[in-house]
Amino acid sequence: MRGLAQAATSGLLIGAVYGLIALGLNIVFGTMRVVNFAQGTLLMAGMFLTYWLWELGGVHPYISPLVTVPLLFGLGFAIQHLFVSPLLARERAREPMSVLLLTLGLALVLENVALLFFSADFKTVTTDVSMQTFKTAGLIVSVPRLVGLGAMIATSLGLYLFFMHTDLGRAVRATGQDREVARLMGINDFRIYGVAYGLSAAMMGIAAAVLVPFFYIHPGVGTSFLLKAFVIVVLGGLGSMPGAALGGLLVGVIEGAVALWVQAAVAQIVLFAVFVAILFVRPAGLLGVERR
Amino acid sequence: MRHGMLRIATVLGLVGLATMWNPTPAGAADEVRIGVVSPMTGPTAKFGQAQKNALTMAADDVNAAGGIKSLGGAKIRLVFGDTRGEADTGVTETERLITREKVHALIGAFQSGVGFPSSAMAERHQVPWLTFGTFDKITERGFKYVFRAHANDTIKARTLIEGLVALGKRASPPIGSAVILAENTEWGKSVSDKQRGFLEKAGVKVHFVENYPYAAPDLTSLIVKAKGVKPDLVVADSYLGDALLITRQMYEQELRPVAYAAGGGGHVQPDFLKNMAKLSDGILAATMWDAAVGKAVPWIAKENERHVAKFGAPFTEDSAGYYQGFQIIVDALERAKTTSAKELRDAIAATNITDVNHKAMLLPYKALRFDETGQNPNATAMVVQIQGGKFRLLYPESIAEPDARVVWPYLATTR
Amino acid sequence: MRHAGLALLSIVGAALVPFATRALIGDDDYWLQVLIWVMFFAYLSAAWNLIGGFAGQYSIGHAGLLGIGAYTSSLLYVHAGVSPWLGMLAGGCLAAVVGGAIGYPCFRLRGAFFSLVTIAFAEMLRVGTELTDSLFGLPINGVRGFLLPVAGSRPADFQFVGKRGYYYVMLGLLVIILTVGWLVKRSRLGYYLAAIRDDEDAAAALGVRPARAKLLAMVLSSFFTAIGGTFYAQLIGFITPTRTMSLDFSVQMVVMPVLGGIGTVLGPLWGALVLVPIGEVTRALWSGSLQGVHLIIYGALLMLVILKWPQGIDPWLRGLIARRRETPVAAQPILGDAPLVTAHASPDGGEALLRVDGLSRSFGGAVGVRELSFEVAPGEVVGIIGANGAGKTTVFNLITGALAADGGDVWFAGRRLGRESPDARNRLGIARTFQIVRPFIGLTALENVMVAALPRAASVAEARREAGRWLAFAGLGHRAGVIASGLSTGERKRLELARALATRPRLLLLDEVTGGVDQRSLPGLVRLMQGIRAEGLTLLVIEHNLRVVTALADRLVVLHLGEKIREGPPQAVVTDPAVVDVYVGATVARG
Repeated sequence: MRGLAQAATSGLLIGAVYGLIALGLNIVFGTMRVVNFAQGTLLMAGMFLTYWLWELGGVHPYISPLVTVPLLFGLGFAIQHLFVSPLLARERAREPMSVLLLTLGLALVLENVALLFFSADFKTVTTDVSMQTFKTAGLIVSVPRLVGLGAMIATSLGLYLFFMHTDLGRAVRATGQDREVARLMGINDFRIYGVAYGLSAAMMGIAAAVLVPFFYIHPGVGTSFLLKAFVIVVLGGLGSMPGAALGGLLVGVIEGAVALWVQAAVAQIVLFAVFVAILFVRPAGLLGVERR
Repeated sequence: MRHGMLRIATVLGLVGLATMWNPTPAGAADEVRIGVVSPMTGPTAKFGQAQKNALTMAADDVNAAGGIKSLGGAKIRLVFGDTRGEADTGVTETERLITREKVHALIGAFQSGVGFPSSAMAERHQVPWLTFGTFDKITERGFKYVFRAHANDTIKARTLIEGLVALGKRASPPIGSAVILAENTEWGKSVSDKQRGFLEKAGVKVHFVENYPYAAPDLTSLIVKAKGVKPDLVVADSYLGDALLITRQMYEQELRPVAYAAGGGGHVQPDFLKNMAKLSDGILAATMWDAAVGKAVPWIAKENERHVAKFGAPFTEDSAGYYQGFQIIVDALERAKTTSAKELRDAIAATNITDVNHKAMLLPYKALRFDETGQNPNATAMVVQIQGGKFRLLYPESIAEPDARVVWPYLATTR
Repeated sequence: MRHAGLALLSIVGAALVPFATRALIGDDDYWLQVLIWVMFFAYLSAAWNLIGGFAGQYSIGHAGLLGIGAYTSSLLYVHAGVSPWLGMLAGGCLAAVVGGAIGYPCFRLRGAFFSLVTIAFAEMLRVGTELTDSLFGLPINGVRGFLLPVAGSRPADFQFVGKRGYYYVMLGLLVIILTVGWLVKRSRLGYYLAAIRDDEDAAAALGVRPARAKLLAMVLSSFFTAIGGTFYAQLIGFITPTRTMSLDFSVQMVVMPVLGGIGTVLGPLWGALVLVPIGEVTRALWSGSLQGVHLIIYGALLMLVILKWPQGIDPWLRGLIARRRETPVAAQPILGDAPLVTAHASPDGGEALLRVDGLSRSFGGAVGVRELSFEVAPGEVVGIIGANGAGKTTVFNLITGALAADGGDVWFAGRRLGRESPDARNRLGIARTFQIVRPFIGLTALENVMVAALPRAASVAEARREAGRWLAFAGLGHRAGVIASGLSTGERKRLELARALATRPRLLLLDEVTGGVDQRSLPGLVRLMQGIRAEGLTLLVIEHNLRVVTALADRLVVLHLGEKIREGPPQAVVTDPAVVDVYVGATVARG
């Protein structure tokens, strides 16, 4: 029983990181109906940025978001402006397929450019908190992962406030619900998309700051997180911030529990099965808004 | 419409001709071409690069000393093929090297999953193939042209377990139980199976063997599961990324076995030591080569120093293996006095090296011979331990560093 | 016929290549190997194209089917001594079953969701296979991979020494799959798929059964993909789940058709011809120095194609080869004769053709339609009018089955409509046009109407003739060969009408036909509608233009906020104070 509690706790904590990534994906997926296959590579870019800030500037990963977040926002905005919006202008359908392929191509390019310049070496960062743990109720809690949980909660709250209570945030939501109508109401949907994409990329800066102290840095690091993030977004509900956060925690716990009871590899299968089941049984996800 | 057709036809024709043009001469008469099948790009490109370094040094040496004397001073030319770490690419590259570049022999392919079908291709074309790859079955197919001078998975696993038991005898507490954590790849699966067999034979209870998903973001449950059975020994068979993760999480979750051993792979990479620092202290690993063998055999130490001077890093287990393969081919060429495939193959099969100063003995064995399956029955492995950021050679005793002692238990200094 | 000659020439040329290379270069198996890979990927891409390009369902999990094929034939060969030629067919059938079983329920997931689901299934299969050491007692070695015996030359067992044997087998397979693609494209199924890909709902409204068509495409695609898997196994001699069922493989199968031309017959071939050699060349040139360059090029090319040439290489090539066609100068649209029998025998004794009884539907809190009841007699023309948001299009959607009612019934020809899907209702005799026209953008005007005519035609040729006549009736005969995206709004409206008519409906629902049409085109359109009416078809017409609808209709039904407030002869209704009040009042309120 103790083992399960520990596995669940650790699962919860890593799930928080999954949730952070899912939040980023959700902004784009949920509001633009765009499948952003490049999300993982954006995370990777954020991690490399954070790493270099530490190596060259001695900047602690937890401070790096001050630099990485605006940089990544700019990168995301630029990507959207250069590549995605010409496509959206063309496609009529609500869920453009071409964007999926476009972001797939982008992911290929980004990952391999990183491979070219940074080589396939694994890098790690060891900070004061990297391997700190503390005990509570007989459970071992990893400090950097706990920081991740905190960051995730703070970020979801921040996003929630942004989307519900600011004009810009509401504009983003409106554009996501009905692009045509939003445009008719005077919202410049392409600028909004830029904001959404930029925001989604910026969040990878936060996720990177959380991950770098305890995870390795490598050009291929984004891929393993990406598929999980998709599962989470669907599980939690498209367009729902609390859904993505909750979904992340849930996925982390499921993964941890199944890995403990059976096998880590089986946990992968279970997660995908959950994904498929959700799509059929309750496509809106746990907290998503039912759409016509 | 005819205009358009003509234009297309011309373009295609030119393209076709262009690709058929082969700027490299089909083969100068007085050179020996040795094909190198390695992952030059992709996630394991670092290994390929190390292999290229070692071979380049070896080939330059041979050529500087006058080439293959029995062939009138023919120079060696290395021809590199890139497998990208993929089986089908490896097969295609092998074929390219054989049919287009007309190599006389090949060395490859590092990943067993790639070497396995690629060597079959060499067998099909009847060109000698010196394996670097530990998968047992590579030499168990009744092939005539595939050879392996170094240890296979069985030998490596046996050495690790026997070494652990032997070292454990001189230290306490002893090892009574174990868990094996192996990545879910062909290497991990194959190695962990063998390790389990030998552990059980040595009377150690193996609680479980788990093949976890390669490159998983989180392995805590695995560690928690392991912790639950309180093993004396944790064996990990992982590539670098997972090795880092497992080691860190073992520390965090306070899984402190008496001994922490690795079947090879990520744990013996220089990057592992660099990134793990204190946590790597005490990890035992099976390897086929370590610089410490140079302590007993001076020429090896000198050769290693030359390598460091040239490339900034010592030989690795695999680059040393490739180097050995190269030297065996050179040795066979001298004896065969021809590059014809059949005779070269026979010469390789007749290899019989016992002189410890022969260059092919970079991985030192009692003898370098090949049995009828193509495997060297005298191949051995060794056990090293990381101490203070360096590898110390501990087993077998015959080549162990005389001043090295096993540090036991794992993380003794931080308890 | 010109094309047939060209095709034959290419095949013969390809068949002679091994002899040419041997003569020119000597024993050069490497060159043949590259060509084999080109053909292999072209084959897989073409098989994928059947569901991906033709049907518009982008599966990114096709490698799973490849793996099924590879493992099935290999297991049968090693453990049961079954020749891989037979095993290949067994694997194909198994994959067809699996693909169909998984695909069918997944088709209702639109766009990206479908792709993600296919990834999920392929990954589950891969990880599952990696974990499985033996299946039904037969060892498959899981992640360690399955080795096939190398037995020299045994053509009967699909094993060849040297590359030639494999070259010819692959060439044969490629010819087969390209032929299959070509046949599908010009068949009934091909037209249905093209329509479904462009606009599934509009296709359903014409009586096409989307699920069935897609299922057929998926089954075909799975069958042939799996055969490719067997080829791979026999060529390499070693299969692992990690490689054969990998996401990378699936992605390659998608990238090549996209580059070459999605939904075209030869697109996959062009895609493979470009991308495979790039991989080879980058490896040969920069082996060991520049990492992952070929993947950067792949990714960049993919992005470039998507952004600049979304139709891929094929249309560009065709543009080079095709003769320029002169579009004949448009004369005034003449309405042709209606292609005979549109009026059906009326049901006995003047019973209503359509009866709407207490129909209700709300959306969240908003009322769409409330307790709506009215009838339409056979041969009648009934107009539905009301302010915006009164629920008019909702009524249409409820009648056609695009929306489900919360309460009430729809009776058609004496039969209560329950759960029938839109395409089923169309087959019963209900057709509609859409308020915002939905032509099949990628098809010509003629092909648009053909899609509607096909379900009732005995052959594609007959459907083509029918379609031509309906186009002429609608005054679009001279624009038959124009791609729908090149038609003006007025022309698209006519096309919409022609299409709906081609389904030989008993009841035609016209949704704001005159909406958005300029003043000049209006009279012609009205004449067309009168022509339809003259043929005796029963019409239910939503119209904003009161002059048009009062001239056309026998009766008017007035809706306001989802309820019927008035019904009667046009003149009486239009001058009724309550109706005027609603119309004017509505305008004032908004102003």
